[in-house]
Amino acid sequence: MSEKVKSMAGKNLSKLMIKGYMDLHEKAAKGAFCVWIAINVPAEIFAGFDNVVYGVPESHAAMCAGKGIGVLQCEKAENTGYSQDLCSYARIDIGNLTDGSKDSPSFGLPKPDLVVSNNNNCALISKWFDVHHREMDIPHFIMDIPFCYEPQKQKNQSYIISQIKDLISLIEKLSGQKFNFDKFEKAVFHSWEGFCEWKNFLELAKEKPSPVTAFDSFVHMAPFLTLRGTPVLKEHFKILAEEARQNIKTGNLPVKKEKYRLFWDNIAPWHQLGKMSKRLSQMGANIVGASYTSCMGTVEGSFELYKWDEKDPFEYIARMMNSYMCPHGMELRYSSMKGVIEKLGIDGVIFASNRSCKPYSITQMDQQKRISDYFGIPAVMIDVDHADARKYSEENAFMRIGALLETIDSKRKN
Amino acid sequence: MDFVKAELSADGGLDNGKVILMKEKSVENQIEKLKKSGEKVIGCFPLYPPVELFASMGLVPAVLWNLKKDVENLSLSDLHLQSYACSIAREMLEFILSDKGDMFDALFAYNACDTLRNLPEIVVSANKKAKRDIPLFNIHIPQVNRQFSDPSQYIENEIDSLIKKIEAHFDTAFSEDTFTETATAYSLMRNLIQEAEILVSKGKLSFLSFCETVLSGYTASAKEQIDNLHKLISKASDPVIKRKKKIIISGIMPPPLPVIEKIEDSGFLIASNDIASLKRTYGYSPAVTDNPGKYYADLYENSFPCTTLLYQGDKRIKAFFDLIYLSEVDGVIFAGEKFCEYEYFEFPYLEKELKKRGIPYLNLEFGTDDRENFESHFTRIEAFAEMISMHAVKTNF
Ligand code: SF4
Ligand code: SF4
Repeated sequence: MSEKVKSMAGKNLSKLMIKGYMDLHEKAAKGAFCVWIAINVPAEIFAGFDNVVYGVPESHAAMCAGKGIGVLQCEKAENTGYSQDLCSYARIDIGNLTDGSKDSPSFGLPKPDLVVSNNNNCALISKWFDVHHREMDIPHFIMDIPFCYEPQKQKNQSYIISQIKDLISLIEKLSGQKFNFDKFEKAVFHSWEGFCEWKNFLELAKEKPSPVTAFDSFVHMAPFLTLRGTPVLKEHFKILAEEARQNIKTGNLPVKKEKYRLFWDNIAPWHQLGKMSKRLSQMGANIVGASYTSCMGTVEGSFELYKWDEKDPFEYIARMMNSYMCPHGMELRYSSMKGVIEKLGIDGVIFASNRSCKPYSITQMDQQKRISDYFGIPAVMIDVDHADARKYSEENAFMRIGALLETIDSKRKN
Repeated sequence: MDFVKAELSADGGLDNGKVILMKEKSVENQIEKLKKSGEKVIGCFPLYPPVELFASMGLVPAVLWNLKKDVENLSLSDLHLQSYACSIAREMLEFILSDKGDMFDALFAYNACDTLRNLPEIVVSANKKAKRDIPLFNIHIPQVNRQFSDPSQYIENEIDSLIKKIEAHFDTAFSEDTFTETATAYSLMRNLIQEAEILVSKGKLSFLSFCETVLSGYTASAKEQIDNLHKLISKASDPVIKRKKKIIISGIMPPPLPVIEKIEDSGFLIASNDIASLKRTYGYSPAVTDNPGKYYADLYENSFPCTTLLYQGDKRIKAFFDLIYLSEVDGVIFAGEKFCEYEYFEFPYLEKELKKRGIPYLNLEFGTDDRENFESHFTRIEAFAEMISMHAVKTNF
């Protein structure tokens, strides 16, 4: 990983994240209405209120895993009866609450007045948020987003919009605050601009060698989750893209002797980012793209930016609720991945089979075969848990990755 | 694997000394029988497909969740599905992709859970490769909380579009009268199951024979199932041996039959259940109407609460404890489905509340590997029975 990237965009990211968490705690302490949301709940609507803040348990869990305390937090949940087979984000979050967030790098999240889940990334998050609903005796709003086997239908978009409006009414009722459409619209515009800049950054991965590595992109996604609807998105991703451009010029690249261009399918292995990127870089391999990062700002069936006509913000955020991988079926995921594999000139694909996230992982076995057959490129399946390091074996993973690189070599020779 | 209960001893506590030849029916044989008699069969992904609608349109629904004995190994499923998917999903996929899957005239799936929603395309693509042309119909069952949003129109539209797809594919026409008749038959069937359940709770029927009959009904027409239930009910008689320890069983599926037998042989009376393929399915019948959209809006809203129906979270906890309270049970047995997150998430809360109320419970878990070797479960059931005998339950409601 490039030191320079760390020193500029990386520093900015740390600053943003620290400030974000501090503001959140401070505003909540001063009486702001606090909502906990699943990552694809349209957070822009909170900007439509004077004093509503939001926290994202998944993002907080990813941060815990990234800081090396994922297992510690998981174990706390397991000790209170939660199965080790549950999603590790959920276990981290539930575990973190067992002792008042004492190990959390951000002092946890401020206590919520409302939790909002949705079932398009996964339905289990609604069960997870029900735990908070029961334990804290606060309302739980479930957004029901139909799973897509084909691009989102109009009837479903309308159904989603009606729920967004129901949620707004509920917040008005619970918080006693009035929703302001103009402020909300502005926030949606900020998110849209953020997505545009993000895509500009990811586009640079086309360069050979690439100034972009998925390990950086994974980390820089965080503001999309916690700072949605703010102008800092555009500013930050501009810095990130500009820095990557500079790095092309100066040759300050993540993998200088880039021999293999790989693609990653699944959530980031948060507990392994440093180690894995270093080891891959020594092998001349760069994970230049990932489905996890490519899907931001896109919709079903393509990783190209979904272009908003800047008209109806409700329509746009309803579409953006599908801006992830898990809400789509196998055909749509395949279509998205095909496009990006072609565009980035990928030599091989790593499918990270993640027992902690079934919605991302089921269909991967078919997908692996399809991608290999279609492109004639090798693909491997490795076992990873995105946040529970106990369920990952570096040795096994690298044995397979090594075999993948060998296959690429032998294909080249032939 | 057929489980044959050739003889039951009087003091074994099963069916009051009556000898019943128990041979678990195979789903394959049942579907074969239906096909031979000229029926069309729609294979339904669990858990709560709109069976009345299919039946009214000339398709016998087969709900695919009791397939352990029909599936010898998971070799086909393992080509597509990781081992960390639950046994219900893996066994169903194996069944559908095997030669047995040829018997289906259509398949049906809905957004039951994160695993099941991802299987339709795996099935369709594998079938396509195998040059099998079996349509797969799909609907979305809304999961919004009813206190904040009203999904009835959405459900009605989904049912409407399903009807149109079936009409187009099978060149048939939906009939309001037939739907009314079918819904009436299903309602009668559910009432009979509830009648049988009461007999089980009084020790007049065994839970084993009850489960066997109810589960085999998932691959039968309502008419056949009504006959089976009448037969089952007619076998009820006063218990020779009184089982004293009352429990409820909770889970997605009932435990495997040998385990149920062990539970009953250990002196437990199954006073009620909170099982998805049992009570959560037959626990509620909507008012019969000729409008399927309204019928299903009612059914999905008011069905006996299930962990998989997200909007029923609060109702479910209440229903669970009401069941315990009303049945005056001495304990609870959880028959956990390995890798089912829906059940996993609620378990710690139920456990905590049970402890608070002083109600003993036993947690058993079943997965793909639990086909024959139940020894460790047997030991735990025996220990639980002993523990309950010594335990004076102090319920604290
Ligand atoms: S199961 Fe997957 S999609 Fe759901 S919360 Fe966990 S990581 Fe996210
Ligand atoms: S047991 Fe749970 S995970 Fe398995 S199919 Fe049923 S709901 Fe889904």
